[in-house]
Amino acid sequence: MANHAADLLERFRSGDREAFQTLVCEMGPRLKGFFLRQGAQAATAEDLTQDVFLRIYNSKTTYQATGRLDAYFFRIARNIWIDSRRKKRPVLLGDDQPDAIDSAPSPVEQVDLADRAAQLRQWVAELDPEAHELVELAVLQQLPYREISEILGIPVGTVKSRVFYTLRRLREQASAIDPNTPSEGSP
Amino acid sequence: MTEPKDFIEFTDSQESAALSAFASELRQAHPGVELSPSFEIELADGLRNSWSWRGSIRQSPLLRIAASLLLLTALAVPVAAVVALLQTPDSDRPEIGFQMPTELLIDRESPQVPRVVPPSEPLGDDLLFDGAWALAIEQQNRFAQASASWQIRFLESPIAADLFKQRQTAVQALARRENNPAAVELFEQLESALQSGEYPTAFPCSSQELIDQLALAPDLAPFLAGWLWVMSAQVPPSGIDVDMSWPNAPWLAELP
Repeated sequence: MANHAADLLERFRSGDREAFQTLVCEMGPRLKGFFLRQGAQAATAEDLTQDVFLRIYNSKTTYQATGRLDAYFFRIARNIWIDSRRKKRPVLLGDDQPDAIDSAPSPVEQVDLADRAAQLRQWVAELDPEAHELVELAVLQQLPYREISEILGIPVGTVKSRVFYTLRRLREQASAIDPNTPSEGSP
Repeated sequence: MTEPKDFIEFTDSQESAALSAFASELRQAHPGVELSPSFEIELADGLRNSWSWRGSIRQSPLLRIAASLLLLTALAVPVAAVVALLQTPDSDRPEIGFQMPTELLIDRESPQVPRVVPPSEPLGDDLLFDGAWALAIEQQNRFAQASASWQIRFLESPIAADLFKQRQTAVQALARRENNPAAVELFEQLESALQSGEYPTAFPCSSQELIDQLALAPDLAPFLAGWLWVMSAQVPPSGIDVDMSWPNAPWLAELP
């Protein structure tokens, strides 16, 4: 899988059309979602996503064949986000946050679930920056702890414990106002 | 591309499962976003326009060759210089030098020795480095030494304030008893010089006058006696107990 990722990346850099489309389809939406949740506007999020692809295209190969390709992308995305904040590129919070998409429930349930999803998104957005970053990478992007540890420069054990305590806090927050929150014993 | 996460090492299996379920719910609450239709085109344009040396060299064999030639040319100069330095000298090569003439031409005429004109006036006593100057320097040195030891004792030690007060009281009492205003005034002037550390432009009395005052005012004599050493490097007359404010004066060791 790692070799496949390295090969995909190399083909992308050498201008292979198929590799370009594969990467854009796979990583583009995830990167845009990442930037949106960090607080960028939709247009800015797309610009920053393009910056990620451009930087990967122009950079010397630093991708570790043992690591995951998406972790490599998010490492660069995080650096670009930090750079953009340092340059004080204008970012606005609010309207561009993606809405929840639910499939089956009835209209009434749909409204309730949408409210709950919005509430969850709100709580995640209100987390302090470090915890928010951890939830983003570990929970939403589902990167391995080891990769997150390398991206953030903190020990793996610290990543695990912080993710655990952040999730526990969010869950307690959710269960305090909504009994539908997954309880202990329910899968 | 996902990795299941559990939290067994932090809690029991029930809470771990609940947290995993909650994490899944969090993911569902954050749906995927879509890229704008023009994203791919704009990115493709951006990639086409993002010219870089590295990318171009990687893609174009011609540019690779040109870059290699440029690099070789740039390296050739220092390499050639190093090789030339390391090369051993060829014995067949003629040595560069010059030949000395076999007969040396020596100008045997003796050089003109300029006649030295002695000064028209003899050297007087007012030269820069005369005896008076050396005496003044010695006086200044002795004064600096005395002033430093005085200041250490009365201004810088932990009990300096008390010592200073005791000394002032003792001297005033002695002065009243002495009834010798000239000696008291002399003491105050000299004491003020010690306290300020500034070398007086002129001493208020000569060495001889000081010796006279030592005889006239025996109670104040211990406080004035040290000045004899400062002014003329003399040991005070015998029978005078020199005040303790002159601890570093070399003549103290010589006192009986």
